[in-house]
Amino acid sequence: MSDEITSLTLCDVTDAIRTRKLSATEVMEATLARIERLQPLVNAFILLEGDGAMEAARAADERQAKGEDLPSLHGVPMAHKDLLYRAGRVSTCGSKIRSQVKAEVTATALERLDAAGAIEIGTLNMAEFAASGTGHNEHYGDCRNPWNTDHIVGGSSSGSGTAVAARMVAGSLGSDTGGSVRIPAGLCGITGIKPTDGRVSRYGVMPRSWASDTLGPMTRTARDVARMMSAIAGYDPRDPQSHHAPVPDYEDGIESSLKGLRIGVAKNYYNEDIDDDVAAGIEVARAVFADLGAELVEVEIPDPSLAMSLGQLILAAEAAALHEKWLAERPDDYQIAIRVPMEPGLFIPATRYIEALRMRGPLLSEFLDKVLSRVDVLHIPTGPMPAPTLVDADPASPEKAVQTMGLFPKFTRTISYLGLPAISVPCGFSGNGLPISFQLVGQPFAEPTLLNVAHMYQRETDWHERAPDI
Amino acid sequence: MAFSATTIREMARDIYGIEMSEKRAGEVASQVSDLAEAARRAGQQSDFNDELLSARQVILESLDDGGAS
Repeated sequence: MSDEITSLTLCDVTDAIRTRKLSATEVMEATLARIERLQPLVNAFILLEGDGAMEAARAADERQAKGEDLPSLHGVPMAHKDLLYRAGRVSTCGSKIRSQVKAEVTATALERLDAAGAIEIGTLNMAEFAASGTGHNEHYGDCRNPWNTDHIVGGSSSGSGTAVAARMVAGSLGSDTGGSVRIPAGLCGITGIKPTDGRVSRYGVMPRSWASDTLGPMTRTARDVARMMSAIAGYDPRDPQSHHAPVPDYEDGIESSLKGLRIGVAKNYYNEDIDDDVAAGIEVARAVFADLGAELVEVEIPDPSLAMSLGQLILAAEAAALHEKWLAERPDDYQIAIRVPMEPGLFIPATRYIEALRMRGPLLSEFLDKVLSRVDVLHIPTGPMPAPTLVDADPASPEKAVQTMGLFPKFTRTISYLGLPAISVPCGFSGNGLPISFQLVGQPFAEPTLLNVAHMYQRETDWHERAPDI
Repeated sequence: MAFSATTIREMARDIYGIEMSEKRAGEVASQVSDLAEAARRAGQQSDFNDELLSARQVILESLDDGGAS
């Protein structure tokens, strides 16, 4: 029974509690039992607060028994990347440097999930300071892919990818500056969204790069993502990048027909350098879209190499500004593989940084004009290959790691530089049993369209329902 | 513009208080030069008017256009 409960999706478990098929307490007991069993195998959690979570679950049941109005995520256990601050609690940010520092504020996104009735049960493993795409972490131990624990999860939201894929929690928040939601979502076979810049408040979240940091839900299904997005999206005066744009109910329209919808197929760049299994999965997914009535439209992608380089420059400069003090005073408290790539950012001339920021507008305009004015969404791989092994991707061996992981940013960082929304959706498995995924990219604030396309795809397929045998 | 190992090493020490070996400074110099060159070339492609076109402005304009849901 316990594993049956944890196999429920976020929306299913919410509905089960609401209709009294399950109590919040029963769900929490099952969740904590699964975490206890799997944590030694996958190392998803940094902090587990089981007693507090059980107490919160009992309180949720009492509110329901009194007939109180139930919010949208009433009683749902969640855990998030350990860079979302909660006042009075340590947020390690996956680092030794922050391992004893208690947060003084609570992240807006956590406040909104609290208000929606979700119960936070702990904090999740991540790459140190969100600065790596693999999930290796010398301070808290490597996070492992539940589909094969010899393989990486992807990062930097590694614990979120693992915990959701392993059914330890039904939903989690990750952060995405250059792919850190989409890469682990893709490599773990779950659904994860990087929202439009400014759509979800970053207040109370460890900064990685002010220009491109975003926060997004990672769950099993597009509908689950929609439910979390409805809870967390919207203007926040405490985040200067935040937009006033009205927040829709992201589940409205999720069942809309795809008939006539134009889905972009890249003629160049995003169809290159990809593994055969990924290429095959992408092709089969396009056939599903065609069967659903969507029109597949070939589009020429503007050369993304400039956006890649400028995105890297901004990230390097901003991360160096954030870490300057510690790089000087506590260099040995960083993993070498995290510290070394940060150092060049200290020496970027201000003029070049400003040029890189200034080019975002023109390059975004060009991408909208040449690609997203011609199609409703662009369909590309989330990454070039399934999850490599922990050994092959180990950043402690930089040359080997670059050879293995070097192509991943091509598929995600350009989208981050442009500030566009993108969702990663599982679409099959490789020959060695690891998930493969595609990415849908849309215009600014096109999250409802992305969720609609992803949901309709998931209605026709069962990749998102498959669970690792762990 | 290429950065030299000597420049990087001196900047690291004098500005940031970071001691860097000559070899490491050379690696950093090469990486900074590559990054900066991309921005320099991009900057040369734009004119003064481009300064007005921020990414935030483009994102907000797409809302006004009703292009996104």
